[in-house]
Amino acid sequence: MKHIFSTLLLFPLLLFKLSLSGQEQVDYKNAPAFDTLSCITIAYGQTYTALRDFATSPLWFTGYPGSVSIGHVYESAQRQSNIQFNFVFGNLSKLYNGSFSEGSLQRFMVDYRELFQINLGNNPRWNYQLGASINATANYRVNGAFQNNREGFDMVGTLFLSGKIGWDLSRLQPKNKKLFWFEYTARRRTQNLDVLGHIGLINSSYRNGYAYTSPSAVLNEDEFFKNYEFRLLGGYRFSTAINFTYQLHNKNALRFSYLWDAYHSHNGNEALEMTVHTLQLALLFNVKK
Amino acid sequence: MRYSLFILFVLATLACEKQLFKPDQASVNPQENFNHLWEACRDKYAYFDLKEIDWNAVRDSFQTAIHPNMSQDSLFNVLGAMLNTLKDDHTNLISSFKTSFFGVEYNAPDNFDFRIITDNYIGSDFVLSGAFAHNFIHNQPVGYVRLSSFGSPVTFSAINFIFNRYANAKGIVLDIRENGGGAVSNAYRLLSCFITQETLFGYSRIKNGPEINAFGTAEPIKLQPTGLYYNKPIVVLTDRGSYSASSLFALACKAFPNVTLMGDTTGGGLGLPNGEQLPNGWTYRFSITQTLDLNMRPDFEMGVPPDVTVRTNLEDRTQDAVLDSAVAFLLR
Repeated sequence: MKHIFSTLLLFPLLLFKLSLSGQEQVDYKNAPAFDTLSCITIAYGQTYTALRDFATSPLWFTGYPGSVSIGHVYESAQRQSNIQFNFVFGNLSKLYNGSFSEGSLQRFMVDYRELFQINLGNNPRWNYQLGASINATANYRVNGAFQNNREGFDMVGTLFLSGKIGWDLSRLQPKNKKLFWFEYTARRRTQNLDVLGHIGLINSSYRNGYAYTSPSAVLNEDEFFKNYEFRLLGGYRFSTAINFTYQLHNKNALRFSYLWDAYHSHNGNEALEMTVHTLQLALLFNVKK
Repeated sequence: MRYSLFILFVLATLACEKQLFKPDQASVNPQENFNHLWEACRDKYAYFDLKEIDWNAVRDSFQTAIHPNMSQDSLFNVLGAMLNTLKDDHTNLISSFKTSFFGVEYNAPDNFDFRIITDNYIGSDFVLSGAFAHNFIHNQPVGYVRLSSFGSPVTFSAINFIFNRYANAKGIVLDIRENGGGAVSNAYRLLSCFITQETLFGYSRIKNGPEINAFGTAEPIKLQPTGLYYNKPIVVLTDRGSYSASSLFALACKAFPNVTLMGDTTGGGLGLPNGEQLPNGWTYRFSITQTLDLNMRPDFEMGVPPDVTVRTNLEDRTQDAVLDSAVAFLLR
């Protein structure tokens, strides 16, 4: 834990330090890589999701909910601006000691990110960016086994320090190649691999209060968020993404991603812990004129 | 440098997130499950003070029965018995093979048998309207309405039908004996047809800290009229089997001038139960709110007393003394 935390924390700081110490100015304008993307993105993914809400159970509930996203991404060597709306839907269950319970999960997430280039070296195939992300995530969970605690709704808001390493894997010129005794010409292609890391700087949560159960029914009120509590600070959150983007000849692109998001809502005994791993395919429709 | 940084970052971010979170707490260890349940009650149960329960003494008493190699059934029996010291039917332990309960209604004489009602008062040709069974009492201008549970939907159309059917009667007897509760919203929907103006009948407060008397602000419980109203007297029959939403129903009736409670004290259960899980997968629940009367007292948790106490003798299969008293009251 300490090792991972320190590594993740040091990563953007290291980028920042290197950017200050960079001695050479790179002519990125003439660099061959990093075609500018301005795309509408539509994505579908399959997740592995694990959730533990100590307010109701010390056990992990896991499942494979689906994930759909829509958004807009602008990417260039100098800047990345990205807004995504994500919806995860499915069931989480737990079978342990002969007791089985299953509940539904719906997770809504809005993520907005701005990254700006920092100079760390003179190789135009590598690109480094640093910035921030704002993320709002809401989970709505229903598990009948928890009776009057069957419904859970949590909102987690996070301000991230975000960093990106981009690696241009494009082939700039056609190249003659040989595979066993077959000779062929590998065509020009534009593709790149990005790794993004986000560390939560401000982790806020909006969750059920101490007793968790909503008293609104007894009070003859229709107030879903009765006794909810907002915590501005507390807990932690980490998020990463590995994106492989392949540009098509029509200027659209395909993006294969592995995404990871993990958070711990606050440090009390009633904390919510959740992790979502997603394998995703996104279609990027070019809107650049 | 760049490659090593890249690889380091990928490895770090892909590292097992288990290290980010608390260790997995799934456990069948009897002591861990005992501690979990005892601590959960200690921190959230709402009625230790009213019931004068020394929870530390309860722990000491049951701790001696916990052994590392005890069977699942034995553990269940110990934990269930510990919960039953709360004397609260909103308290249950639920496993895949057993459910514990206290059974407050069995601590008082049985006071109801619907077969006596059908055989001697309303016949077997009674009318079913949603959750209600009802009919005129033989040879009397009194309507008898049976509601056995608040678990089934209580609809305005059914209530309207009943009010119209007995509009010319002297009154209605609403029988909620052995009604173990259900959805409080159903109780409130029916109660809202007993009033013509907004009516405050009690308060509720919820635990907000681990101390025994740590509660949030007591908030008023109000009912709003719906336009449906029965302008004749209503007698509500209760007994120790009238629990949870039925007790709340009885408590509210105390605030209504046109409603008289008759029979036996209700079983109580005015607290709202939660629902949580043990490390071994069993689930449990207990009350985490207090309902207070108009004097801000929680005493009715132990049962809402009737305005007129009447008990029946079930050995006499020809009459129901409680119902007889209610009819006499309406015909007086």
